[in-house]
Formats: sequence, C-alpha cells, structure tokens
Amino acid sequence: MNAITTSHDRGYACLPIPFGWFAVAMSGDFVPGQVKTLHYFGTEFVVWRGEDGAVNAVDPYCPHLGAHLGVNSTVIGNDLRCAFHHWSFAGNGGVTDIPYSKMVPPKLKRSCLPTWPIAEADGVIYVWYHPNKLAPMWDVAQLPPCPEGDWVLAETLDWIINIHCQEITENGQDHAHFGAVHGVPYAPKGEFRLDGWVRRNTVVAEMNTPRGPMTGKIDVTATGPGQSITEYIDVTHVVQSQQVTPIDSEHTHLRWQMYHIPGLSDGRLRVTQARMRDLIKQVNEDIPIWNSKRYMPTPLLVDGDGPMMAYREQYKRYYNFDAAAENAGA
Amino acid sequence: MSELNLTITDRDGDTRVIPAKSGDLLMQVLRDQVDLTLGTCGGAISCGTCLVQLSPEWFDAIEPAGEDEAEMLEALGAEGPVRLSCQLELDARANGCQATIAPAT
Repeated sequence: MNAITTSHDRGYACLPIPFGWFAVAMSGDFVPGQVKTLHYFGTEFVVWRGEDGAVNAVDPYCPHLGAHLGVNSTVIGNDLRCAFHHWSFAGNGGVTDIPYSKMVPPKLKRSCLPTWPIAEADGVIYVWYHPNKLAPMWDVAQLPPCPEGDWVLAETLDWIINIHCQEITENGQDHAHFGAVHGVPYAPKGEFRLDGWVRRNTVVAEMNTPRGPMTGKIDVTATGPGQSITEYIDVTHVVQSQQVTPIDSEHTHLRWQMYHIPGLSDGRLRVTQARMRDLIKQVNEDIPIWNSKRYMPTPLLVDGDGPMMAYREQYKRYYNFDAAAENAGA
Repeated sequence: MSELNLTITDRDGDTRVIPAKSGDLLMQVLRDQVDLTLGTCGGAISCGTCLVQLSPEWFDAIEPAGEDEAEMLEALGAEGPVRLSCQLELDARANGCQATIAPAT
C-alpha cells in the first residue's frame, strides 16, 4: 500500500463522505479473539471477532469512563472487555458484565455502546456507514454464481489513493480515458442502466490479448458507492470484486479480489493470468492520475466522453443524508 | 419560589426536616444535604444508590415509575412504595411528606 500523503486542496475536502456499505477489512484480518481499531469515514471504530466467529463493530470509546476499546481490550467469549474497568460488551452494544458491581443495570444490558451494522461476504468485512446512523437501505452484494464449481481466488490487492471515492468509480463511465490511459484500441460502447441503488454497465470492448485484440464483454454491477463487481467474459471468465472505502474525503482505500473459473487448461490459465495482469496494469496507469487530479464540478465534456454526469446525478443520492429508504426509486 | 419541607430519614435512622424547591431533583437535594454517597450514576438509572422509600401519601400522589426505572427497581428487588430519587422532580405534592433513604447494598 502507498502511504497517505497530504496535498493542497484539490476540491475533494469539501465533498461529503457518501453513506453505504464499505469494505473495512478482509475476513482473514480477524481471527476469533482479535480486536482492531479501524480508521475510515474520517472517524474510527473498533472491530472484533468473537469465539462464535461473528464480527462486531462499535464506537471506540467505552461509555463508562471513556477508555479506548481498541487499546488493551480483550475478547472474552463473544464479548469485548474494556481494559479500564473490565466492563464487557456484546456485539449488540449491551453490557454483559461489570465484575465489581452487584448487577448489570437492565437499561445497559439492552444497549449501551453504539454499534455499526457489519456484514461479511466473499471474504470481505463490510460496515454500513451513515453520518446520521440511519439503518442499512440495501444488502451487501455477493459474487455472481460461478458457471461451473466455485470461483478460484487468484489475487487480493489493495491501494491507498489520494482522491475522493466518487472519482474512482466514475472511471468506468469515462469512456475516452480507456484509449488514452490504457491503450484500449477502440473506445468501448457501453450500455448504462440505473436501478435503485444499483448501477450496471455493459461494455463491449476491444481488449489486448497475447493473441492480438479481441472483443470482450465487460459487465459491471455497482451496488451503492462502495462495491463494484465486474465480470470479464471472453476466452476466459474473470470476476473482479472491487471495493472503494473512504478513509476521509481525500483518501480512498481501494481493494480488489480477482477470481476466475476453476478447471482452466494451462493455455486458458495463461490467458486468464494475462488478463488479470492487464487489469492491474490498468489500475496502475489510473493511480498517478487519481493521486494528482482535481475535482471538476462542471467538467468540460464533449461527445464521446461517456455518461459521467448521469453517474454523478445518481451518486448524489448517497449524499442525501436525511432521505429515507423510500427515496431509492430510480 | 415555592419552598418545600421534606422529612428525611437517613441510613443511620436519624430523621430531620430539610428545605427544597419545586423543580429540584430529590436525589440532588438528598446528596447536597443528607448523604454524599447517593446517586453514583448521576441520574442515568444505572446504579440504584438513590433508592428511597416514600411515605404512602407521597407515593400515591405522584406519577408511577417509567419503564427504565421500573425495570431497575425490579432488578434491585425493591418492593413497596419505593422510587429512584433521581427520577423524582419535586413539586407541591412533596411538601410535608416523608422519605427514608434505602440502605446501601
């Protein structure tokens, strides 16, 4: 991962942090009994995995006398025990034990410590971020069914990028950059659909392969601002599961997990690996531009640029912090 | 300002009359004038240290305990005309009434 660097204001600091499900860790980062403080959304929270295997996320400070629950706390069974006075908390935020008191007050047993909605899917841990603590409005997206057997996880990658997360997922709508930045021989023709909290792009693109350019189909399903699952279907079948997570308005944690279908012959495996290498090459071509570009609220767009403004129009709903779930209509 | 007089029996069994004002929290009045160890949690309904037994005419005159207080009273095993004094805002109905501070547990 690249280190975070500070920079002069490129227009991102004043952009809000959108609400939604965001990846905050890989499942393997938390074995049962492990506690960590995670820093995202311009704030921090404490995550632990209980002996039952369930992950939990809570606000960082003990409501008793304010100790940081990420510092020297212990997982006891499924609960998190604060280091300061050994109060224990369940994943629902209720107090389960106060060792020196005659009882746990009923009100505190019910709920005490603010919690974060948390979910785990396909090896990734997600939390629901909403600045006003509204409840989740959609479910975490999962990998599409594998056409044969189970997907093979081939690569897990991540980057810290100096840009607002909105700009990273705008990239897929930016048709003209594919040729300029990535050397894709022809501008991709994309079908672009918005459906509630989901954005779908189907792009038919000329791709470079070791055997020369060929036509491939790229299906992108973005669910909320934090998740995009892309299927590349041609001589091979690759799934790229991407998560963007705001560290703050100016920094984004980008994660990729790359899967392919099982049972590939040596030849098809080589093509598959070449495809994955090409995707990694492409993101490495995007990153210097992302790290240094500025936000253009009213970009100077011309024919051929792609549906970036429609993308931004949909994206605005993730900044509508007072809206209820009913506003999710297309 | 309406002055109230309350008859309070402390944990040693001593009884005296103390002044209070309408709008005061009974817990605050008792902590200020009778027993500094009352009200550990400051009114969050989480300690039970401000438990009092009210004279029947006082207990019957005021609104019953709310849900959180009732649950805490049950958890404390407190029965009879008892209340958490942190939940009692005084008014004229308290004037001339008597309360006994429950023993520390």
